[in-house]
Amino acid sequence: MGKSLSWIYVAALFAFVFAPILTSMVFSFNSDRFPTVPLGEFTTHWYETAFSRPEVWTAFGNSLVVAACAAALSTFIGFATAYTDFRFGFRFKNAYLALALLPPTVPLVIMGLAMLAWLSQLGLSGTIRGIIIAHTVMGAPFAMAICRLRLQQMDPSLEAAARNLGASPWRAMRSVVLPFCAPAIISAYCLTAAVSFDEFMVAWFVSGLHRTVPVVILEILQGNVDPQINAIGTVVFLTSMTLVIVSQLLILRKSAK
Amino acid sequence: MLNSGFGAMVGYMTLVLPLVIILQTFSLAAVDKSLIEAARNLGANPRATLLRVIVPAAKTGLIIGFVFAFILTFGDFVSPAYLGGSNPPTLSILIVDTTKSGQQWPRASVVALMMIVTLFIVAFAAVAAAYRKRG
Repeated sequence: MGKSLSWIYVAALFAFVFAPILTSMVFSFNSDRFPTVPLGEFTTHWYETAFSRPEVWTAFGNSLVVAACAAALSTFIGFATAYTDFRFGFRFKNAYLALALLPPTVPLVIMGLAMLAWLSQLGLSGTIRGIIIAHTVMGAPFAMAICRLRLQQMDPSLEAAARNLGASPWRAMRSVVLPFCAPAIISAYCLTAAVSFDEFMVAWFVSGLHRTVPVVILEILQGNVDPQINAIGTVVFLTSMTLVIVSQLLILRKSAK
Repeated sequence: MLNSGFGAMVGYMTLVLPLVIILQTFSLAAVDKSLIEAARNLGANPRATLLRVIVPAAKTGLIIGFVFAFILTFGDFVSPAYLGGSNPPTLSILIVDTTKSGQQWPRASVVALMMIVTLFIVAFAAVAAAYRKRG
């Protein structure tokens, strides 16, 4: 009795969280103009019309470039931060870590406003580079958390042994630390790419004419409700879900070893 | 249900629920099982065990979950704007309006600073409550 009740509770929770996404997916294949039940016929019409619009393709191109670059940068910064934390002790280390982990707690609206003000001072607002910088700031803490967890599992004496055996610091990093952290680094790359690919608020403030996919979706949605949104949304959801799942699989596999 | 405070609430819930569940599950899983058995052995009914043993033991994680939910919803723009239909408007909508259509950045910055101050006060108060020892 208690067990089945708790199963029902879990199912209701999942339904609450995933029903909107599923609805959107279902209606993206539905031939009717408005989301109504009963469903019309199965069609891929909305995908065709959505992807025949040039601005959607430009937006996808922008999103991919931004996600790839921002993920690379934030993984690099995140790994460097995690390694600094793992390897060195210094004064104000707690303040350093608190600062490094601060960005996710700042509301996105404020982050967007601040990024817009700052980047326009640098003459970078409205450029792809501006969005990349903003998304790097947002992704780096996540990359750091993932790399830090992996470094936790590494025996610190491994690196000392490499140095004893005559490896230069760079060589020790390249042939001991980096191979050990490789799964975490790939996982961090996927996760930060997903964060950047999904991100709407900051991209909206900063992007100007170089819009990313979420910005285009919300701008079409402001005009009217259109099944094309469901089609684009489904593609975006599947892309970022794939990235997140790849990232999670890498984390799980390495901890199973 | 759309274009109302309730619609915005549903959006907020889908946004924060998964994170809160993860955080609170970790804290509840860390509660020492022998504490629960001891409470039952000493004659506490399930309700009393929950309220006087499990919740106080997992207090820190439960409150941290609350703090994260508060931070995320306080600054969220998409839910109140698209599900709540800007009715009632929130501070995040005010910021977007003043920057995007009004071009009044100083004004938006003031609102943003006030939001950050509010968040800091709530977060500090909640964390202080989370780590306070029962006297």
